[in-house]
Formats: sequence, structure tokens, C-alpha cells
Amino acid sequence: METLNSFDGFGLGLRTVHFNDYLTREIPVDFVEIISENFMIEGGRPLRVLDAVRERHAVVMHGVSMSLGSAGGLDPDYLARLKALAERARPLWISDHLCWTGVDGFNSHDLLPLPYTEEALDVVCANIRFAQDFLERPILVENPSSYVAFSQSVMTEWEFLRALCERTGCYLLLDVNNIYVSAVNHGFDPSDYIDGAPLDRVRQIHLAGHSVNGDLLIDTHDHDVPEPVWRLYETVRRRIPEAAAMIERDDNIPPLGDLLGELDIARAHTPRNREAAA
Amino acid sequence: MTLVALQRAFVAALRDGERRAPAFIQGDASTKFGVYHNAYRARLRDALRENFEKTWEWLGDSRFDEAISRYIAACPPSSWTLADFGDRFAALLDGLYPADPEVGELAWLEWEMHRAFIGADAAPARAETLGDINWENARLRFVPTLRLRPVSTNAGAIWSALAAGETPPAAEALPASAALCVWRRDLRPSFRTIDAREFMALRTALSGVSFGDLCKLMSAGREDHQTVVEIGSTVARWLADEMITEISAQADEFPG
Repeated sequence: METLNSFDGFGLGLRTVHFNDYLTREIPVDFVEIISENFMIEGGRPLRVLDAVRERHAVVMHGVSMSLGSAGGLDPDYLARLKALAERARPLWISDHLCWTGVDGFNSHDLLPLPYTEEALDVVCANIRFAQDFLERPILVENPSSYVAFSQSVMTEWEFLRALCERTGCYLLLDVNNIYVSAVNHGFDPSDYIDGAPLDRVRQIHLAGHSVNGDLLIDTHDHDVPEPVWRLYETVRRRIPEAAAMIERDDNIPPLGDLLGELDIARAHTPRNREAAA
Repeated sequence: MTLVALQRAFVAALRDGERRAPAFIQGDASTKFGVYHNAYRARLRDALRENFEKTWEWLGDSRFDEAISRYIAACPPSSWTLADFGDRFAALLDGLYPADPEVGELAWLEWEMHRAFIGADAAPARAETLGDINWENARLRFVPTLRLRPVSTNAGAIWSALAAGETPPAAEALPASAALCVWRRDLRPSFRTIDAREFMALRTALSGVSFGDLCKLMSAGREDHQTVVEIGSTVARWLADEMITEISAQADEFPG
């Protein structure tokens, strides 16, 4: 599998409410991330907007429906549509989540958690290899946020991710908020995660906010990035100097100017930028 | 327990109306599994509320949420895209509200307008560039987003009022048979309520018959000349409305 070069920069997700901003003025981002499924359509305005945005910005594709953890394997029709979109969008890379979305033809449209077992590792590796062969490129796999743990698990999530990268040559999209959310929900130290994850495989970083629901944190992507996540991000960036970092906001989406302001905070929290400015 | 067995058990618990965590979940299983149990329904509910915003407003929260619950139970999502969830919602409403046919008709219109928004692109034919046409053999090709449904109510007027933020008219039966016709003009989904005769002409033209045969089929009980004028005028309207992509005299240019 080919080597995927790093892309160092700061970006935002391309959301419908901001289409006109992108069409009418220069937006100071180094790349935009699209939700693949929102553009895996036959035609109409979203694709027209994507074409225009692609003329000005680098694009990365981020999916929610590949279902890499599905015991039943991947959907070739889905992959064919994804590949067709990639030929149009010419992304830096394609990513999806370490999760499964359904079984036996049912799709929950949620990112469901996996038990970290040897069998699950074999399944996910086989699915990643199939996707990479089909798409003719390495993919990025994102660490999920999760709310349950399984009695069957025999390894940690970061051990699972390391094995995935070693066996398949895939890369990682590291979601710092997801590490924090899962650490609180499952009671592990996020430093252990960062120490154990194969950070040399990280090509992209997600930053997001979450909600508090009793003792659980919920990965809702509807708030600003909170202080503990910024602190964790700084720790991560000391270890990963080059990566594509972005704010991921999917709900309660503010005006684009607010997100650009939050992206400036991300720049300021990136140690390399701060040292350069000093 | 194999992975597939675990995933089947997880999904069964997810779809169960009662929130019961599978035994293999560790810790405070009910609360933690409840996050997924709730999120599954909330995500589907939000998708239907977004795609059927006007139907929701027309029905009100209580009746709409009841319809959502029935739909989730009857038509669990199977497509890779959430955008497909709702493709049978109008049919469910037809069954739930047989005495209020405007409900299902309004939902059908909303759904098809959303589908048209992301439907395949097609450049419309321009009347001024058509040149000489042998109309007897001419066949019409329509935009791929074109959809038709017979209607018995003023669902179109209700949709328009709700879209404009106005108080919608009361539901009422149309005085004569009619249909809704949905398509996309450039990037904008459009619709018209058409009478039964235009509906018949459009359905017949969509089947691929020639203009000459279309006129013959539509002329039953009328003077041929009168029908040609009428259908010619109708086709001119379809052209002006950007519903037609091509007019060709070559039958073999339209495979299938």
C-alpha cells in the first residue's frame, strides 16, 4: 500500500449552512472536510458547491457508513459510490470510523462500538484491506467515542488501533475529543492512550465539543471545544508536529466566523505555531 | 460468542422498544446502552422531521411522532444513507389516514421535492434550438427527476402556504381528478398540480411513444386537429418549464 504524505494545515467541515460563505468569499482554511455520504448523490446543488469549493481548497472525505467493523463485510455498492465521489473530489484521503453500523441488512445509522477481541481485529483488518484494494488507496481510520465496554474485550482500543495499522498499512484520524470522552466514560487515563497509539500513522486530527449526561460524556459535536480537550490536543501536537487539524461541528452549527475563530484557537494551541510566534 | 452473534444481539436490543442492555455490556449497562438505544430513535426521528417538516407542521407533534414510531417499527433503515429513510413514509401515512388523503399526498410531495434536490442533473431542451422536427415521429425525453402521483386534495396549495410561512388552507377535495408533478429546474425543485388530461398525456409521453401516437391516444372522441393543437400547447408548456431534455425523431435513440 502506498505511503500517505502528511498535510500540515487547519481546516473545517463543509456544512450546508456555510455553502454561500464558501461560494462568495475566500475562506482562510487550508482544507475542507466533506461528509462523504452527503455528496454520494446523483446531482444537484451540493455537488455543484463541492466542485466550486474544490477549485479553491484541498478536500478530505470523511464517511460514516463504511462499517469497518461489520462481521458481514463491506457493501460493494457503497464502496463503488464512494470511489466515484473520490474521482470527482480528488481528496487528500478518505476516512471512516472504527465501528460498525448494522448487521444482516439493518443499518442503525449510528457508530456502534466493537469488542476489542482477536476475532474483531481479524474482521476489521479484512474489511480495511478490502476497502483499500477497492479504493486503490490507504484509508484513515478514526478512533470512536464509546459509551459501553464489552466483557469479551482482551485489548485496549489503542492496542487494537496499533495492530490495525501494522497489519493493513492504514493510517489514523485521531479524534482528540473522542479520546477524552471515552477516557471519562471508561475510566482510563488519556495519556495512556496517547502513549500507546501509533501516532506516526496519524494524518488528521479532529477537535470537537461534547455534552454531559450524568456520569457520561456524549460525543454530540454541538458545543465549542472545551478546555480539557484543548489541553489534550496540545499534548498530542507535541508528538505529532505535522497533521491536518480541524474543528468538527455537526449540530447547533454557529456562523462560519465563529468556527474560524475557534480554528485560530487551534492554531494558537499548536506548540509549533506558538514557538514560531515567540 | 462470535462477533456476528454479538452484533445481532446488540441490534435486537437496539430495536427493542424496551431498553434492555445485552448481558455482555459491562458496568452500568442500562444507562450506558441507553445512549445507543435513545440515539437510534432520535436520529431517525430527526431525519423524518427534517424531510417531512411541512407534514409535521400539518399533523402536529403528537400525530407526527406516533407516525414516526410506527414507521421505525415497520420500516427499519437498511440503506447506507440516512437520506433514503422515509421513502415509504407517505405510503404509511396513506394507510394511517385514509379519511384525510391530503396527509399522504403532502408527505409524498415533500419527499419527492427533497429527492429532486439531489437527483441526477440534466440540461433542459430549449425551444429556440430545436430546429426542424418531424413531429409525427418525435419522441420526448424528460428530466430524470420527474415524478407523478394522482391526487384528490389541495395538498399542493397546503405545501405552498406552509413553505411561505402562511396559514395553510383547509384540506379540501379537488373538484376533478388531478395529479402532482415534481421535477427540478436547474438547481430548484419545482411542482405543479396538473389536471387529469395533462397527467394522462405526460404518463403516455413518458412511456416513449411518438408525438404522433401521443396525439392519437389522446384524441379519443375529439377532432384530430383539436388534439394536435392541445398537445402541442402542452408540450410547449413542458419545454418552457424545463421538464424536457430532448426531442428526437429517431426512435432507436431511446433504448428501452
